[in-house]
Amino acid sequence: MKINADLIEKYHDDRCTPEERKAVEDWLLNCEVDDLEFHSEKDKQITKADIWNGLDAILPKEEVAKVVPKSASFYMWKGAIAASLVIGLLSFAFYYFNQSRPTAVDFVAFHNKSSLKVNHINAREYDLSVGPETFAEVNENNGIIDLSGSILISPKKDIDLNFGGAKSKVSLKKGQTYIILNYNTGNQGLLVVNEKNLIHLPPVMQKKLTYEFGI
Amino acid sequence: MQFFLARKLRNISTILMLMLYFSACKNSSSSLEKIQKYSIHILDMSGKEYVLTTDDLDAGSINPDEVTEALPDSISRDIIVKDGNYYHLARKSDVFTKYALKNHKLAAVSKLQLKDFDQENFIWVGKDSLLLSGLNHGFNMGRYYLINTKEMSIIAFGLLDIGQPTGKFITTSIGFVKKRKDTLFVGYTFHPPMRNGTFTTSDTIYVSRLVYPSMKSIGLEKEVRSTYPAGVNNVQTNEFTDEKGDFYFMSCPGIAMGNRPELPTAIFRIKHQSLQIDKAYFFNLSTLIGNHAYGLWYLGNGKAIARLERKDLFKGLADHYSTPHFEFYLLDIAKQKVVKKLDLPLDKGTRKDCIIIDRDKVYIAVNSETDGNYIWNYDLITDKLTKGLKLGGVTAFIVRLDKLVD
Repeated sequence: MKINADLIEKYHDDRCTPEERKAVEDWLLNCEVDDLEFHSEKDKQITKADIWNGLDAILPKEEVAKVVPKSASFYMWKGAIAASLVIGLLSFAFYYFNQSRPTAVDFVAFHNKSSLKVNHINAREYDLSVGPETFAEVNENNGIIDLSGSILISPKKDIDLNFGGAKSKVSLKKGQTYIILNYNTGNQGLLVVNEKNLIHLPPVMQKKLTYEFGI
Repeated sequence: MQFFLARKLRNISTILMLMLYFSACKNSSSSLEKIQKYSIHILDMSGKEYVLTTDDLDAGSINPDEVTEALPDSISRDIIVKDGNYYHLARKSDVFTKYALKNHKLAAVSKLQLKDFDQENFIWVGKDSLLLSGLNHGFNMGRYYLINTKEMSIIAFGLLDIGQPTGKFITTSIGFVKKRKDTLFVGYTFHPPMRNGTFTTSDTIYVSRLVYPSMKSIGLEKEVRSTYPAGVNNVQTNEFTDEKGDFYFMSCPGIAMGNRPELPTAIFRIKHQSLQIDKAYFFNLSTLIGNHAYGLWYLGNGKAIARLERKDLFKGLADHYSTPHFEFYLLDIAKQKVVKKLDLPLDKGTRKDCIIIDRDKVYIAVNSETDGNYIWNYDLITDKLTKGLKLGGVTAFIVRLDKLVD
């Protein structure tokens, strides 16, 4: 079932059928982000800006539910979407922080679609910068990370990452910064390099990574 | 009264402190140790690096962790070694530091703040005059610094008037800089943006001729028989000038440098009275040996050693450094012939400056999975290879071998 603004509005007004309710809740707890259907492109832009502003303000804090969109001039359903996202985020936070896997990473998925910008994420166990055009997902059952792209990670404690396959278990030390590259195309395989050892990479890759991550 | 007494005591303690300070200074200056002949740069499995020195590469055993401490993260293998000193440009801060050995450790002697500079190559243009050439932090403009290393002062700096990447190309790599009287030959190439984790290189080698020291361009040559000329020469040597003054450089299109593996690794020449690459000369190692090379060292008398990979032994870039697959070949430069493969164990480590020549002896550092980490001695007169100094302990890779004094 395609989730759209009308359906979310119905959900908040408690007018959903059990099927619709389940679809909305599945959507909220799902980490795959589909584009929402909007009434107009203008609405989309306004909502987008609003959601980003809202997220900026709430992300570092735990009490995210208290933050609501500021302006009353927005259409009713936009507030609902923002609130839904907030609920979704809270659910995520609750879900991740309550998992007890001491050596596993606490992200489940991220996707940086930008071809230029790096996304920065602060978590309990690490600081993470996600390179352009990078996708990663942790399999909840076996903890194996499916990475395609480049990440810069600084663990706050010793952690093990498992990228699947033989020789793909990577132990990272607290306080160090690592660059991890993995692409499904090409023959290069999984590359893990400590930031201080960047010189060992081919010069062209060094240039790309120092420029991209600002290191 | 108490106040004056206190002040007097404070004065006395200040004098004592000063005396202690001066005696400490005296001690530290006297602890500058006797300079040994050779410097060895070690990398361990955890990525820590060590610099140790010795007078004897022919025998014995050294464990780096027993004779020195790991280098701080601000220094790496991309160092320049000359006359007992080490020079290093820190990537993030652009601080260029001169080091000397003190109590078997590198100690900073003086520092210079450079700006917007990423080093690619160095040449000594005088006993204490170092020309650093490189790029801006956007990696698309040639820049240089001319440094007096004795005074640690900047003599000149500015732009290198070389071509800039255009069209689909966004970055530059400078592979060699060769000075001949008042002419500077600068070899370089361009790269498009990296996509899906793979990088590549233009199919062309560019050689700009600049007037030294104005660094203004007076000519540009394009060479399309291979790409990625030479390399980063404070990590690995890929060029030399022979006794006649002919300049040779090797192209590095393999996956670890240019990543245009369909093009050949080949040696090119610019003859001593010529301003152009010699079109009649093309020493194609890929055709003769069937693999790509990184690293070329001149032994004298028309002989050189190249370090070639074995593409049948590694899978890709991820295991290129950790798999022992490198072989050393003795080359006849003038005849463009492979003399022989040296009878050494397979070496590991993608790029290393692992060969030095000391009169009739060639020292080759080899990291073998089966035979251990040794400095091998190749005697040019008897043509014999013997195992010399052993590097034990934490040693994983011997990434540099330098003559600390000539």
